[in-house]
Amino acid sequence: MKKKIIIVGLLSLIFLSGCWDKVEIDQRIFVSTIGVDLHEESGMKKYMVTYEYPNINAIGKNATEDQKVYVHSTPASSIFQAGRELSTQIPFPFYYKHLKVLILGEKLLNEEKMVRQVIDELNRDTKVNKNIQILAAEGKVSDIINANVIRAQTTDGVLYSNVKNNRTSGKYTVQTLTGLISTLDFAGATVIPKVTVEGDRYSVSGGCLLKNYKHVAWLDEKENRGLSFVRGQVENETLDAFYKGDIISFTVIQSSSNKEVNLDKEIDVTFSVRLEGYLQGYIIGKDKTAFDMKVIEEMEKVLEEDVKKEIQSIIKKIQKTYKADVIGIGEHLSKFEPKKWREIKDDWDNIFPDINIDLSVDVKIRRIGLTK
Amino acid sequence: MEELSKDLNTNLQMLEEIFKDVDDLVFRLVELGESKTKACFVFIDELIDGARLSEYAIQAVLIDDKKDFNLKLFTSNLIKNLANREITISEVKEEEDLGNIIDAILSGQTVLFVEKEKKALLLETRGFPTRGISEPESETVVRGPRDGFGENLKMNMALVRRRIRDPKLKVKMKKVGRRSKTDIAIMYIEDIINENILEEVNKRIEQIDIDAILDSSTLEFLIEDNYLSPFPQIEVTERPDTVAASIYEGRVGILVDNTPFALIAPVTIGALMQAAEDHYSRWTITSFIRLLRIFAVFLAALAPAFYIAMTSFHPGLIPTRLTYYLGASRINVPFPAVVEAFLMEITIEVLRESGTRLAGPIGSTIGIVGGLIIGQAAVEAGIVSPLMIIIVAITTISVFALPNYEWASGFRFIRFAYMILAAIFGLYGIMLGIVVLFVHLAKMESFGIPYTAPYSGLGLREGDLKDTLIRAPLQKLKYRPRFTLPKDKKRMGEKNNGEE
Amino acid sequence: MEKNRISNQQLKALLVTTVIGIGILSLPSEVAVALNNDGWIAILIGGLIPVPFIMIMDRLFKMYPKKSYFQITKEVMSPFVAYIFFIVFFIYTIVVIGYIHRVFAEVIKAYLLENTPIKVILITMLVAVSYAARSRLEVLARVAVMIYPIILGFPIFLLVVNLPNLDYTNILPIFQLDIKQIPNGIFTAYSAYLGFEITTLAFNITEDNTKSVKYTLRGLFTVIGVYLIVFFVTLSQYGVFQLKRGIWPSIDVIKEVDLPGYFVENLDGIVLAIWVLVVYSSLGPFFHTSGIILKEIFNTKTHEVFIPFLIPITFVISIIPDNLVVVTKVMARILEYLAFIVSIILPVVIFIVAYIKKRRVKT
Repeated sequence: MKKKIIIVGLLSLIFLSGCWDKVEIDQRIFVSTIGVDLHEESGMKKYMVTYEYPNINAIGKNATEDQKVYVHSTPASSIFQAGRELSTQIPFPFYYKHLKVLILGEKLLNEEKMVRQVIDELNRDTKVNKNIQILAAEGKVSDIINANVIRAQTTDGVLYSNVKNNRTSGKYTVQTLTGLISTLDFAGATVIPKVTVEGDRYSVSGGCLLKNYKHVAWLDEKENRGLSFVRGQVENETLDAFYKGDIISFTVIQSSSNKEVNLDKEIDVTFSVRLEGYLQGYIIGKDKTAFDMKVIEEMEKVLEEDVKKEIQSIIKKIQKTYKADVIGIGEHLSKFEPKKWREIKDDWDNIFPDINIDLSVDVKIRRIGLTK
Repeated sequence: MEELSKDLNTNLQMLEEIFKDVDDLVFRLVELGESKTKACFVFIDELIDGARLSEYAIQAVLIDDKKDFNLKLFTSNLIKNLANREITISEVKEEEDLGNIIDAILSGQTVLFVEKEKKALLLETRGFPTRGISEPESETVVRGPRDGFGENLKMNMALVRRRIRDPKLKVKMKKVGRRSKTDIAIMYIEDIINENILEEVNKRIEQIDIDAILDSSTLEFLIEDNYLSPFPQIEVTERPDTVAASIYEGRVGILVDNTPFALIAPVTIGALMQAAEDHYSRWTITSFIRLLRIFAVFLAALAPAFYIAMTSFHPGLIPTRLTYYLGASRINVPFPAVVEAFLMEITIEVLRESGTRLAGPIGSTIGIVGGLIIGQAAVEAGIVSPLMIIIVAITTISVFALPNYEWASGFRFIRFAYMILAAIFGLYGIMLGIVVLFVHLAKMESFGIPYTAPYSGLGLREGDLKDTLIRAPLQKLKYRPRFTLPKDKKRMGEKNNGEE
Repeated sequence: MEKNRISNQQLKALLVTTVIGIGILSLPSEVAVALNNDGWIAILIGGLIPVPFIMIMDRLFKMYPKKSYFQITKEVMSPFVAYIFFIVFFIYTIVVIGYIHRVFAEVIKAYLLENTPIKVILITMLVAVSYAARSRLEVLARVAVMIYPIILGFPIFLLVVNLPNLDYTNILPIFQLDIKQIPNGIFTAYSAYLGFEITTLAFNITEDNTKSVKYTLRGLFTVIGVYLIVFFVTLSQYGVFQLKRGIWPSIDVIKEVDLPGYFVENLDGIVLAIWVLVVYSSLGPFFHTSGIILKEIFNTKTHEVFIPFLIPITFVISIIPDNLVVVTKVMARILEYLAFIVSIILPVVIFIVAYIKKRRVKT
């Protein structure tokens, strides 16, 4: 008798339990991109949140539809609350585990407190992956995401693929959620890629300089490239410079950057940037040859000067104008010279602009291709 | 212990009483020698080798009627004299107990009763028709011996004996089953076997009280440690070389009459995952295949459960592109993943059963028809997603990667339990199930030896893992596996090919 | 082939799998809160604290060979005091079980089963663990050996998978600690090593006692190693600020891994699956021990009878705290003190008394 009760009990458990967490996979919405704008209305709903998710019917072998993604926007008081707001229009619950990209709107980035709230929400949530890409939008995010609707081809979303697979990291610097929080923790400043839309084409170029979760400046491509050189993050880039009236083209394969900090009198920082690559283009002509040591040296010099100028201008800007330490000096001090850092870290905003930053650039043209 | 009487007729009447309505019992009366001493051969017609009886027994005693079987000279020794000097059958035995005589007649021996003798003579005339030696159907090898056991115990014993020509090989014969009196032979090597194991085996066999043992499986279920578990605790094999190898490892082989399946005790998971062929192939490929088998076990038991867990509970735990693909493949499938999985698994099991029932070409056709066509049609009709079909096919086939059929069948059953757990609790349920399985396996013992022996800590250093997880080159396997706690640990000498 | 003997290897595996349980999750964060980048010092020292007590237990067992810990206690102290010791030990084990269960269920609820009621998770785990607890310690040792390679594999896996993304400079600066915080840090770290006292109970059923200490210490150092690896990986991946912010950084660090080129993403499934095994192998011995203590107190033949009664008791303990904050701040503190008493003070007292007794006998 006892056994029968147990068996009946177990069986009913299976049916009664209702499998609380069971949701069929084709009845979930996988949000791939979230955009957050400022919603200028009174009341709690300060954010205009845009969700983008792929159209499952358009993927796979039996793709029946053309529209690859769906986009929805709604005002909401926080990112995840937007999911609830949209539940009146969308039949299925949202699932955030496959979120890949977060885009913050321009106006929103001016509100430090709101940005902090958004970032905390993502950091705290159990489902969101910590390596989502964060981008800043020039203009309104909903415009940008809506523009992607036609273009989206990959399941991950175009923006994500663009950012993730990029090999020319000079134009913009990728930043993940954790990276963002970490750099803001260490240095109080960070750079995230900038996204704009023109007509129906999007473009990811340049960067947005953030200081303490607030936007301070837009960087264009060249400036961003300069920063990337200093951080040694450039993987594949092509530089053009004038050499004796002709344009030479130099492709960087490897770049590295070293910091040296000298604390003798004041704080002296020396960056040595080193670029290696091959000559991409010169000019065909009777007396023009690259197969000459002197010519190569001169070419290298020209390139070095160009790069140096570029880097110096951006360093000056971030140091004097924005006082944003995105080149990692503060971080370096906190790690390698902790005693000194403890003394000056509270006053870093004032000390940073006065630091002497020296720069030396070394370009090496290793190969010149197939012709002389 | 009923005794015979000295009077032949009384004896014969007793037998007739006992064997009433047994029409195949034959009484062959003879008169011996000049004195015309009455004697009778009693046997069951179809169980004996008729030629042997007539040539070597009946002819032997009748051929020379000049012989003087003078009772006065040989009274109590007449039977002995017949045994020693006249009857030319290879095995004879004197017997007084009526019970044993009845058993003998029923097993195919012939009993010789002689007038005025209290003892009878048992003549070994067993010769019922049997299947010849053929390749074992359930365990084939690419390289290695191809002889398999048959249904005749003596033949089976011969096959094992040929491989162990050591006088320390001991053979104990017993009869099990009240009415079947099935002969079994317990074989082991005396100076390797651990006495505790042997004692346990004997003890359990003694305790059996059942009508009939028709197949070694009945014996297996009666002497194993935990009959409730889905996993076997005694190894079953059709191959004499497997039995011989196991005996060399320090285990006990039990051969049962009327069945080609022999038993080997004790057993561990390591032994269950080994195939005979492992020892006949080279070590690199065998090591790889052994690891593959472990992978196959997981696949066979867990694949559908993981599918259910991932699609229904945790789509976040698989890479993004796979998630989208899964979602896309499941649109418009009318069933939820759980139902789909159960439906397909049960269908496959039904197909399997049908395939087993039908012999020969029809059976394999059903397999192909069922598998391919039904599966394909189901996908095209859109009631099942193609990924499910692939998973079901893989699980069904991986089950066959395991060499021991009973062990694999345990997993076939477990698979459904995991599917239910996955359907209720997702990944958490599956992990609970796995861990409970670990505990269950660790709890089990086979005749005193822990079931999980090579993996759970009894003497890893002495090389057990070298022959279970992978297969090290032969030169490295100098010691017997430790899980049998053998007395003689070394099986190979110091200097062998390639070793200094 | 005697019943209920375990080999030294099983002893070591038992130690490692019992100790490595939920401590591994929050350990990096908690020591970082106390000591920033130098949290590893706390981990190291915290791990060395059990060493002298293992030695003491070993000497104790050598003084009374073949007797179980409980028998020795009864002999050495007066029965009344011995029972008090047992009751304290018992309370400790059930609080530990309740605590581990609760944290485990919270983690499962957070990552895997958001909507399933926590009580269901608790009960299913309790029932599953009770199946293991009903066995002899030998069986638990076998399970430990089977799970041992998986538990060792986990930090190695963590390391390998994170290698491309680690920023070693995050480990710096070192030796910038606040001296006053060291005891706090060590005390916190020590609670991650709970469980070693359970294995000392197993000394008397181990086959080769001369080497037991060696193996136990090896196991302890393995645990220290594992914890250090986890700490350094999480520190490198996150940086010290984010590390201090996270509650369960050891799992979150897997979420950082994203190598789509190798189809490696969203690995938290694997980590959580392994982690269920890890916690189960921690809980089993604790549950088993509480049954054994009851068996000693009530003098019954086996401990199995008590296990079903313990299920509701531990269940109630695990649902007492309202939320994770209460669990960490209140329950864990209580546990730390209890642990200190049971694993350190009690054995020392027993040893001292036993030593004095032996001395008296000699003279």
